[in-house]
Amino acid sequence: MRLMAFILALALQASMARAGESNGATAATASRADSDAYAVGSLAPSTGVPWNPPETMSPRRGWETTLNMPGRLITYPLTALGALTNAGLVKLEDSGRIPTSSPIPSTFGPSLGLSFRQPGLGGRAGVGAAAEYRREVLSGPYSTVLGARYAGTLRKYNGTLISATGKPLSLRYGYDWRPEELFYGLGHDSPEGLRTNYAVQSEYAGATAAWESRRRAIRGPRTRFSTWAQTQTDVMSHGRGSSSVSYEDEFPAIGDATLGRRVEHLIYGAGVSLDNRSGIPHWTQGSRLLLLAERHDAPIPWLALKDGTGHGAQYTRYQIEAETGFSWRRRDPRTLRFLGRISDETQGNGGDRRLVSELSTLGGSVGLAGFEPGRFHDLDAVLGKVSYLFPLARRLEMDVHSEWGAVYRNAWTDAQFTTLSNSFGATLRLRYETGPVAAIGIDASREGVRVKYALGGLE
Amino acid sequence: MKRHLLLWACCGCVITAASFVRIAVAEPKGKDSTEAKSPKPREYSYVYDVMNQSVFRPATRMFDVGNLARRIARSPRQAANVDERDEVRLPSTWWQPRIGYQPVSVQDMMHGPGPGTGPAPGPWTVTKAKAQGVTPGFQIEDTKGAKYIIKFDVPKFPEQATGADVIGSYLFWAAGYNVPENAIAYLDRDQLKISPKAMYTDAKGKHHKMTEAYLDALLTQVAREPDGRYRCLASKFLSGKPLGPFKYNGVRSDDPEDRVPHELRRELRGLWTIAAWVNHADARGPNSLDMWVTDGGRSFVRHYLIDFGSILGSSAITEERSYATGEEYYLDYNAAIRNLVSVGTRKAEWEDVKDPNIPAVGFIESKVFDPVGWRPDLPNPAFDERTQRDIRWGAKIVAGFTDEHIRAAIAAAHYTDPRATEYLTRMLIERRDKLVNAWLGPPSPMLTGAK
Repeated sequence: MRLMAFILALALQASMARAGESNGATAATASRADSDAYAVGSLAPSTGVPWNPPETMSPRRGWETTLNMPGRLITYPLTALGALTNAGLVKLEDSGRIPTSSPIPSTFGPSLGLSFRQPGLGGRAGVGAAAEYRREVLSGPYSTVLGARYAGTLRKYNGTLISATGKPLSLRYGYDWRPEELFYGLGHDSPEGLRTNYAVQSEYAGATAAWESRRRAIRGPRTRFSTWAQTQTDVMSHGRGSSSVSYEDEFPAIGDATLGRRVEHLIYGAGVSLDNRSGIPHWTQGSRLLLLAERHDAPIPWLALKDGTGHGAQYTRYQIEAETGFSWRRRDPRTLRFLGRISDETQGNGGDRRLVSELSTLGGSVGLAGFEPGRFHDLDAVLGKVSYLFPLARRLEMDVHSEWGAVYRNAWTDAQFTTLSNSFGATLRLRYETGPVAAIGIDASREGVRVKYALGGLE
Repeated sequence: MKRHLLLWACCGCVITAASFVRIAVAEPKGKDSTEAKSPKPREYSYVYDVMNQSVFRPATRMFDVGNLARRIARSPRQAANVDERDEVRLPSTWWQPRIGYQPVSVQDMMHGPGPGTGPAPGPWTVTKAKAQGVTPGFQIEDTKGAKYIIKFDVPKFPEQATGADVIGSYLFWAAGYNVPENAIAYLDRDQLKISPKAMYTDAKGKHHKMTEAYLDALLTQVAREPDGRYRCLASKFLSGKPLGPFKYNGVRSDDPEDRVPHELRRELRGLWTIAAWVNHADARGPNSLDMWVTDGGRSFVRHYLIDFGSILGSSAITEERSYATGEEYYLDYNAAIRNLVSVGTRKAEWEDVKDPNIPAVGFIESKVFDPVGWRPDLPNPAFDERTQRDIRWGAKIVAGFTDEHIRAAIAAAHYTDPRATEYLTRMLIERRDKLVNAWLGPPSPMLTGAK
């Protein structure tokens, strides 16, 4: 009843205001004869003093202002925030950090200098940021960019990387600290209740040589062959997370073999990637194939970052990943995509000293996004994903997807469809003409719902 | 309960009484001399404008109780600067009655924005890199000292953005708006000299002295003629002092001659009709410019529409314009809900439109064109407040364009492909007729639901 009375009162105001406005217009015109101005005359812009009311008009009638007052009071802080945001963005646009003009030729405006990015430390790392500084030290055919990057998160994850990126050779040295990685035990049937965490510290130095068939502009055919070698040392330690116990409490056997033990490796491998996906605003057709083999071998003492005595497990990891898709409705494509991945690790020597961080894993951004990162660990992992992308608006699209996957001791003998876990989700993606630029979504599994977001680097 | 009703009724009476406070019209207090003080230049972020018009303002509008009441009562607020004949009160620093109000010959139109001859022959001195807008370009000074902004086409769409910009300047001038003088020009690389003071800003915000290598690299990104020259748009600097863009709502508080909120201005609300006609989907604040001019013995702010490179479905970037241009906002929540509910199976009308596949012509068509529901890329505050009276005001102007006006404006784009000229002419004529029939013809069921 009260609501009805309120709406009736509003409608009454509005309709009376209409009468008032038309009366006002008539009265207003009495004092001024505009008809002369419409006589055939100059086509040039007027220089006369423009017609104006005696005082600045309000965009709303009094009754509208009164009705909107509560909302206006609430949104005043937002208005101030908007003004500040506008001022900040104007500065960034003026400085060129947010481009509003045509792209400057790449040789004159590469992504050099200081920049701030997402931390890139994985889904478990939490909210954070990375600061990166890049400087070109050689140009021309031997173009080389020196870079230094530091990333940190509120969960106290951090990573440091110093690199020299050239063609075809790149060098790097890095250090990572991951204080609360999750571990639920080995095997796909590890119960959710056995949630533990561990910390791992990694230090590495290595080189990669890569050859590409051609640089891609936005997206296009590309074949890439790369080979790398890296010396690395890792130490697992007591988990720093407070929401679960440290891994050695629940898994004493694994803890005894790995806790505080320095493991050193010489890692070398090669990979080939064939990619002929194409299309905008997301890739709409084509396929991609990735073949990768990586050996984690005993360290060479003179190359080791520490003393070279802490041998870990020696094993080889093979990975095959294939992705394809097709679309319909050319003007604003609807796309169906399929992805399959098998990760296979050999048992190798010293398997009892295999660090948890070296195992194949599922959960989070690496697959089965509805589960926690690191939810499943074992030697091998299998993953399949189906995605359907469709447009919502010119700048929005939706990606609904479902994933099936599992970890196994030996995927080639143990894998069965009935053992796969399922995760499904939807991601809202903000897109530009040339591709998606940001995303936010949720993924659900039998163990819960997870929110994910990304800014840039989506495809 | 009775007490509550009484309270509401009292509130209603008080508010109603307040709303009847009339605005007495008197002579404006604007200073009538060159001593008037120039308002401060202001800037408006491109990115913030997108966020504001796509997200913040629609959200605010949704919770606008006064607006809701007006919609329930079907009582939209009419334009505030009109007389008893429902015409714009003059003089106006925004608009001058031309086509639709007085005879404007084709010759008048072609000389209206300026002679249209472009920069003088001879070397052009590059003075600065172009700071805003998506098309590649720079600023130059010709041998006579006249300054121009030079804009190019991207290689994928030669003649498209430059042609649209020239056509737009003639059509919007003839429609009554203030526009810059635009012309198609051709330049040889050897013709360019770099001013010692010329600078450009890189992606990290660092300023660099402009070099020949920079210009060479920039020119690799633009369309080139078969004879090696570069076709460009030369847009002459407006006279006066630039004050930054105007907004399509509110007023410029430091301009004493700006007392009518822009969303209540007939010239800006009625611009919707003209924008719909030429598919000016980029009609938004940042594509406008206020200038502090001294003219007719006084100094004042004159309001300009600039940058028509995105009209006629033209794309100034490397990807073609969406076929949904003019049909949906960038973030069109109604379309998003429909698509979400249908899980993408819904097919919009524009998805079946035939593309002329002429590189010089962007996406513009007349079959699916909706003369009632046309939408720009971003919601525009003045367009959002438009009423049937505003649209009819604009339709009267559109109706004034003869086929000859349209042909002459398109001829100024100097398309090398005759199909481009023919197609655009046909589209503008058909769209004009559709608009005029919808708004000035006999009552049409299409208008049901329009405000």
